[in-house]
Amino acid sequence: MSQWRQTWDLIRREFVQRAKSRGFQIMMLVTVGLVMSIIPLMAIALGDPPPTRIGVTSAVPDGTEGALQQRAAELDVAVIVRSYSSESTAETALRDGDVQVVYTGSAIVFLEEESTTAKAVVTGAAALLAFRAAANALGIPEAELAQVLAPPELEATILSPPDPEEEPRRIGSLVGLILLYMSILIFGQFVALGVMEEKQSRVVEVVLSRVAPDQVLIAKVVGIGALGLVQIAALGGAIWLALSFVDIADVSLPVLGAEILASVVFWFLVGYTMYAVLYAALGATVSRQEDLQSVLMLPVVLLLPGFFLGQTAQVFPDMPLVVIASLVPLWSPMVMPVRAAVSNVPLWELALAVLLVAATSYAAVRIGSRLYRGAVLRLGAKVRLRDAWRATW
Amino acid sequence: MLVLSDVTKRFGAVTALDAACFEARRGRILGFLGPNGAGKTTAMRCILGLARPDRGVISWCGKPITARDRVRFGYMPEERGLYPKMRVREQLIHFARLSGVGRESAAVTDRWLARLELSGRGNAKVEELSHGNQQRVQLAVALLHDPELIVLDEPFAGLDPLGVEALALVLRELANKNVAIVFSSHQLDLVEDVCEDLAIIDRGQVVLTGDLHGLRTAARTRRLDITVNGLPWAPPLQGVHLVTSDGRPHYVVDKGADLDALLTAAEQAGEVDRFSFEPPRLSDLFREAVQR
Repeated sequence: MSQWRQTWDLIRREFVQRAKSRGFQIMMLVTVGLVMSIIPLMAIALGDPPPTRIGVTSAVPDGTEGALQQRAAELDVAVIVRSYSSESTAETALRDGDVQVVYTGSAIVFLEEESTTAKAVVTGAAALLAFRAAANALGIPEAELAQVLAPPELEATILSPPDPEEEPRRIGSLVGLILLYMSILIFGQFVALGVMEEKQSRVVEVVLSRVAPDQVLIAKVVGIGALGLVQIAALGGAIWLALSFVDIADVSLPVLGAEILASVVFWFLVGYTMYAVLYAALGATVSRQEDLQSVLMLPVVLLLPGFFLGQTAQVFPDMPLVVIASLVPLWSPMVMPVRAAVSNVPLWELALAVLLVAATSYAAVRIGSRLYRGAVLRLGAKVRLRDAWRATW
Repeated sequence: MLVLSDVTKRFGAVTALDAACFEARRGRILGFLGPNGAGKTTAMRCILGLARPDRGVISWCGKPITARDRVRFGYMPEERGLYPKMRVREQLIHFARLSGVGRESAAVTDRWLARLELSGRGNAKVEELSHGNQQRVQLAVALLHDPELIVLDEPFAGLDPLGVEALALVLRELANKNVAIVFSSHQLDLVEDVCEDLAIIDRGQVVLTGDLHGLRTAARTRRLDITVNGLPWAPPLQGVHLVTSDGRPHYVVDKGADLDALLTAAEQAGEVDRFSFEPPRLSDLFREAVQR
């Protein structure tokens, strides 16, 4: 009977039993549902602005709608024009939010504050109509007037064009950060809960009479971690699918989404391993659910600064504190992927962060498995970590 | 054969096992006795690799026990231990696989479910079973891989008389198949009925061990129970004492007591209804060994 075979059987049990649990299934449904409902909001944030709705009364001169559309086209904005029979019905529509501005022919009416775009479109259209009326009076043909009024063709040069991917990357990295933080936290807690339950039901004694403690620990971390990957894949897949329907100029959202998802998977594997072992060791110190909550404060306290610094990294990826945090193993799994998504992180920094976190994970596995061994068979009261460390089990 | 030699285990200032030695042979059942806290569970945990002795050697078939050996052991812990939310059949298959049964796991599981009259409950979660049925599942976990050594910590605790009888029968069948069996119990009559061998532990030390029949016949004392004219009769011997706490009141006398003289004295006192002179029972051995 090989140890690999035993470990595989343990991993499979962890994965299957946890996947079958109602808690996990509810969590999957809720999170996927949440993500799917957030996507339309993201699409609005990332996509083109909605058209400006302009209400006009019957008092406006003929040709107003055409002039409004012409000005809007020149200003590269979209407008929808709605006609109202009187000033009062137009005002009601404004108050009801059906339109954002009302043009009466002699005045522009806003509800709460002026919209520069709407004002520019309406003023421009009014001027155009006035020029037309004057030209008509002077007998200048329409075609000549158009020639006179045509704006000169100026070549626009942008010295420092904004990266069209900047905003999508920022939002994507925030979604990735939330996914990472939640996944490490939730699946780490599953590990602690699983260890505590095995201790509480005493089944760990039967298991450990056949299998080495390190195998049990590794199987628990790997089995539940695999479930974490399934959740990330499901959520990431849902986001990726939804993004493929959002169209932003010059940006390939599916490519960007796949890049961020790959980064989330990689940093989840690294960060989860490190924290999951800590969760397992802490879970082994208690035999009751009531005691579990208090010992689980420690990993949350360790994780939380990483989450906040990750949010900071979104906006200030080169801030010294953020750069340092992206190399500190406890936080790098949350800070580095954000930095890497929104700025150009030197390769050596990335490599160093990975190296440090890998070394810490290795140390965590060694320390965690010793604590686990020392605590998991000591029933009754909460085991102090110091005693677990010293125990020769 | 399982051999514990000089096994010592300390937990901080507490010495749970103090140079403990005993042997359990294949094809025989060993009763492992001792007062609460004497070190029985610790010794069993050391055998199963759940605790590491500070000193001494535990060997199986002449060699120190390895992880590979332990897969061929069966264990039933005192507190019992099953996954409460896992289905019975799934759980047994899981443990069969962990114990190296391999592809046969499902077939072996179904055989055990049938044998323990649990075939209809294979899809039930363990927590949905009655206490007695949970015990049966626990027993199946310990036995379904045909172990060579079975260690059971208080296996009879909480069983009704029929359950006790059924378990005793299972253990006897296993011993007949050359399995070595070690079980702990506080039910001395039961141990006396079921076991061939004995180990008594007190304060971490094995104070008496060996073949139960041999220990009884080799004991320095005998149970003397004489009834004259329908009443217990006190023998006119030096240093005898009356025991009333265990079954019929009787006297504990020296093995070499002169039976002819005693019988003559009794007959002179009246009509002898009963004259019984027998080796000490397990309870006598236990009391003497732990000196309480």
